[in-house]
Amino acid sequence: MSRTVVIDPVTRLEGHARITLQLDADGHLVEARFHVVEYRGFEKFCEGRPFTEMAAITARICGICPVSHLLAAAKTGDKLLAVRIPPAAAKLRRLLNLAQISQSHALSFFHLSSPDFLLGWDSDPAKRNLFGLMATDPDLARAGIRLRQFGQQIIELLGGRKIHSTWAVPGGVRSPLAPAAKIWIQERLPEAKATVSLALGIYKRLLDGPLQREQRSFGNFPSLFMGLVGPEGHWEHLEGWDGGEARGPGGAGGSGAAGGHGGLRIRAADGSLVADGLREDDYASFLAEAVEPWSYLKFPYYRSLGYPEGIYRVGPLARLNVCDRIGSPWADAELVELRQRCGPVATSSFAYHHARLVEIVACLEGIELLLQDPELEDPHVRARASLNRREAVGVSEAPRGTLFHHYRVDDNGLITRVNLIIATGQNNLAMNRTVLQIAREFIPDPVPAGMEIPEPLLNRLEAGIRCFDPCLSCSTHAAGSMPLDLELLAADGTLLAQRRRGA
Amino acid sequence: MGVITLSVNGAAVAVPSGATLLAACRSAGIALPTLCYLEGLSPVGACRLCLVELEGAGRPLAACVSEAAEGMVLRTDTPQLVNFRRMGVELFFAEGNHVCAICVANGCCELQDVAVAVGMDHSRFPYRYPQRSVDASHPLFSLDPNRCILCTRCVRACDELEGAHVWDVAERGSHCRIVAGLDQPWAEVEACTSCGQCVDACPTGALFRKDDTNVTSHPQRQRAALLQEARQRHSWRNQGPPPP
Amino acid sequence: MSKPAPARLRCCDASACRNAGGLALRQALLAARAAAGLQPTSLAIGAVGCLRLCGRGPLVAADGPGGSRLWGGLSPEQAALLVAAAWVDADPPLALASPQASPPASPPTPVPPASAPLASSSDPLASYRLDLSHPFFSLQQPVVLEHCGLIDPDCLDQALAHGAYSQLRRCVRQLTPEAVRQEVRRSGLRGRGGAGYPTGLKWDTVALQPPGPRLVVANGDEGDPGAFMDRTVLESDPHRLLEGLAIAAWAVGAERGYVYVRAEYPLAIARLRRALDQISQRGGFGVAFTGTPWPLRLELRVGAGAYVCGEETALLQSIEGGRGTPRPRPPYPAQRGLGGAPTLINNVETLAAIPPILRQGGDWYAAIGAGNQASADKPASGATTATLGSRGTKVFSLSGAVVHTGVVEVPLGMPLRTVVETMGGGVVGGAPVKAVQTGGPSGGCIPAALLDTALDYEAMASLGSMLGSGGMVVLGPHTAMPELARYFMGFCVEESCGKCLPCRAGTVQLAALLDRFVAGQAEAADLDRLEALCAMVKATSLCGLGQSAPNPVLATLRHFRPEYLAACREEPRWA
Repeated sequence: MSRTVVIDPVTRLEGHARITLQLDADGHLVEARFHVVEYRGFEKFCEGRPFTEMAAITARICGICPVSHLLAAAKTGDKLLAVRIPPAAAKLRRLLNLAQISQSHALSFFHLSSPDFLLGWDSDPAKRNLFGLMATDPDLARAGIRLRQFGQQIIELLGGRKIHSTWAVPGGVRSPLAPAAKIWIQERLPEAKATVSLALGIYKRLLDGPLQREQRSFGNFPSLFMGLVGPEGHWEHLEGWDGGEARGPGGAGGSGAAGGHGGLRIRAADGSLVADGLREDDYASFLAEAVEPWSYLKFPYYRSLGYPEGIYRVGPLARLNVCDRIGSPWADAELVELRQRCGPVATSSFAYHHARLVEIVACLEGIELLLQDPELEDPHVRARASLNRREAVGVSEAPRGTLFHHYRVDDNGLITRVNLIIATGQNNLAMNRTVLQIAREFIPDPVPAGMEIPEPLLNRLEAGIRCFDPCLSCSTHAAGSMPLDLELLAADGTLLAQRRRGA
Repeated sequence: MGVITLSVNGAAVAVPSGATLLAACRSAGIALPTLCYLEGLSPVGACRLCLVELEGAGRPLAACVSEAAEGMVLRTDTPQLVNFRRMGVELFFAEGNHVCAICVANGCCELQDVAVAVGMDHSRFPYRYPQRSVDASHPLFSLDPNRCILCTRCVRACDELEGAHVWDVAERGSHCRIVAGLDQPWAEVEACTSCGQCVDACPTGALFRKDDTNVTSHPQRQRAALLQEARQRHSWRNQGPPPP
Repeated sequence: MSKPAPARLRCCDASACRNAGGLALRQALLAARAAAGLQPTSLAIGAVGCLRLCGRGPLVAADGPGGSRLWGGLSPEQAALLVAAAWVDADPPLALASPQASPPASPPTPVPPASAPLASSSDPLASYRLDLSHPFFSLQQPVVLEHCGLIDPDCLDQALAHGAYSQLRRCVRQLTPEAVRQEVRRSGLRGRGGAGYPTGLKWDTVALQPPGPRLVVANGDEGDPGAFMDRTVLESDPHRLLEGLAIAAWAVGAERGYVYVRAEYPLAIARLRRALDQISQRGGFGVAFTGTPWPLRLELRVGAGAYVCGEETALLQSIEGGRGTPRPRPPYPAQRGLGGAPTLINNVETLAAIPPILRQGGDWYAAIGAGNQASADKPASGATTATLGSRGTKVFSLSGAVVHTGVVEVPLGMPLRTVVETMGGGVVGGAPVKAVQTGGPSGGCIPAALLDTALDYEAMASLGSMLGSGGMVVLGPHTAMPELARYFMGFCVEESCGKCLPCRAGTVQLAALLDRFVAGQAEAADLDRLEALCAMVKATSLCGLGQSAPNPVLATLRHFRPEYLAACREEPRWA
């Protein structure tokens, strides 16, 4: 008789989701689905607002990654004004984004995922969280918290608040860097570096030991990878195609990727370059979105390969897979080691955790380099203009992946249409495939009738999702179809197992 | 000019004759909440927040439009007045779409200040969620009627200070809205001189400069008073009294 | 056979009877007269103003040697019969339906009786006859309405023949303004628009302002639903209003004035225009009526569909060409009104009482109703409303679930029951009266248990109601009181000018709260919210509209609270 396994809600994620597994009458796993059950609706209620408000509004999509939306919205606004922002502004925005990425990755690693690695998959669920970590290894827990705090503090020093600051505006940023802020950051960089070094050490030991099976089986499948690259093909987190003078770390100009313009790059699992130098303005020509009736999250795919064959991944692992190198010494060394472990293109989703740590290194080195640039302190940080375009697409690399903001406005700058392609959304197909793979690996097949699935196995399913560090609040804005029935009906509708928060 | 003495909350106050009860309260150091009143513009007594109780009168009086008289005994802080003020602020929030989080005036908004002053942290009245559209046609400024409380300071500022009378109120009752010209897009009203008096007079973020984003608007709300006084005295120095 | 004395048919030509086919009937009567070969000198047929029992229109009265008779509801096909009936020699005098004794204690029989006792089978119009001795008519004391129904409203000469402008002449030629005002003070007349402010005092206030121009305004905005008293005066005897206004102008020293009429009274507007034109053609008030060069000029101003323009300061704004929004008072219009000049504003009915007061003296007017209990000890010319009695007559428009819908003018102090049951005939079908709504959207309701209350300013106010402008709506047992309150609140929501917050936003929230009671989905907390918000709107609104908008709610809560409690759900909405 068919059974349905339901995990609801999925824990230690940002946002609300649900996993269902459909077993057939013989206990074979037939289907697994990752449902996102939130609906935020920003794409609709922004209509009629002045485009200058979009930075403030979209920042409020999320409490973890508001800066990503802030920057994407500001960049879209730059294009609507048709301005090139002052170099100091571009560099300050880069500083903000580096801080953002490092704090978000720190949160993901230390708060959300490390309890599994360090306390074990089978440990007591009530303690398998940051508090449990604090009890077991207080120094590590404290270091992780302070690492996140470091990034948040930079955001506050630049923008006035840690969360939902509206410092980046169309045309640049609102205020220049205060000298005291620069000193504060420089003083705390060493501690931050020490923390991530410690984490990398611990993590690599675990990879060589207890986490080998997870590395092999958590979402390990071929797919395309997409991310921004710089003009020389190096790691890029903010500037899109032809990002201008303000690139770094690394050089500017040269005859690198796509004739020196940078832009979006797509690489296949076998290492070949599927596309390079793509402009974010043309996203609709190479990306499409499908909608399924059982989730509010859309399913983006690479257009020319169709749905669902056009599956692609974004985020830290994708950014490292598409780039040639990072461009700062320590980060490049770590990247080399990651490629030694995983191959030139890492296909296991579990490697996202490793990639996050490498990106934190890249961010810290990037921050250090930027602070040495005298142009960073220039007081001219905002270009002013009136509305000059009716439509624009802005791109940024959020911690979780590529983020697109696409606005259309009327003659007075009031939004008529908004499309947001969210990082997490682009990993939707991959998350679904990961859930299925984990279920096949860790749950006996066939599942005997009447057997209860133990909690640690369910935890692994969740952990598969956590590899992607999804931000589900961010990702659900279009008017998709209402999930009709999240309980996959078996012949008799039996539920094998359920987990609900608070009974 | 004579002097009038009256009592406010038990304290004796002296004011010049012709002064309003609002001026008398301020002399006594009592900050009555106001929204439709702006120093430098004619008062209208519309927001009803500055009501005070006058001994012997049947109903509370609006202090901004009531003239002080000798021997009046006023109370500004009775439980009834406090309650009515609080309900008034709740009605303001319930009748518009006031989203402080993303508003340009967040942090320098008189409606916010009044809400804090009366201790309003929620509204007992259900929000009406009216449908109102932004007018962003003007090259320099925008009007967002979601934030408008119909104080008509913009109407009076444009009419009395600039003499252009771009703004007025259309329709009636809860359908009232501020309109430019003959209910045209602001940019099409030729009378507008882009002086910005209305933006500086607006207590909320309804009228704002296009340059401003969330939290940056800092209107010069004392502009009306400075202009009015300067015109009356024919003296434009505002650093102090003119030399003898 | 000697010709009988000339007979006369008076056809009501006011709005209600017009709507019921009065024009067509009159045309048919004229045709029938011609067909019968009668001359106008033998049978006069003319249009007149209101004949009072509006619900039975079209009304036609016949005058002959034997007296007057009244018919209601005739159709043009019966014109010939009516002409014949009017022409018939009235000997023996046609017995009208059985005369009633003085007001009976028990509910009276409806008019007309199903079988008129003296109606002979030869009277085919018997069932259309209306009994003029019925209390509906016999208890009326026409002072304001004394010529309504007797004269052609469009004919100045008829008005003059009935004494119009004779008092104006006397005032201008023989009396000082002070003497005129003194007579008005002695009469105890109080504003009939609803506020009840002593008229003489108001006239004095305007007259005694510092020297300079003054103006007078007649407030004909009559916006209360269910009120048609002023409309009756304006449609039936416009010169009466103009004379009252002119006397007021003399008394306060004004040489300019306005009559402000709501746009929804096209017939009244047309008649006033014609009346003013007639005066203008004769050289103006001074030349035409006083034989002096007194330069008084009155103009008509038409409203544009706003109830709030019945409020004095909003009305003045409207006349000045602005939005009809009230201004804070003080200063009062009497001190600073139109164009900053002292302005006297009085209700139409108030002004229409002025010529009889001048003609018969203030004491005569004050004596009307003086015998009624509440006013007994009070002097007529007290300085404040608290010490004043309620003197003179008041016009009421009676409507609703009542048998006799129409216009009545009665002495103040008469018990409400007399008007509603004795004169009005009680509720249609004999059901008991549930309550009577007075004062429109500003007023309250008097429950059946209190029907013996006197129609008196103070007595009504003490019950949480008000005498109001005169609208009186009778409610039968099937009226749900929360629904009634919701109806009036909806009216206030529509008519609020929007200037002040409590009225603009508070009425909307009150209506939403009342919706829950009407739907039977309220909670106990809603009752608290309702009462709290009513108190706030009442105390803090800028003008009378907002200040009195909660009155119907408060009155129905006071007298019919169980209905509100019954409309509450048992469980809270959020479990």
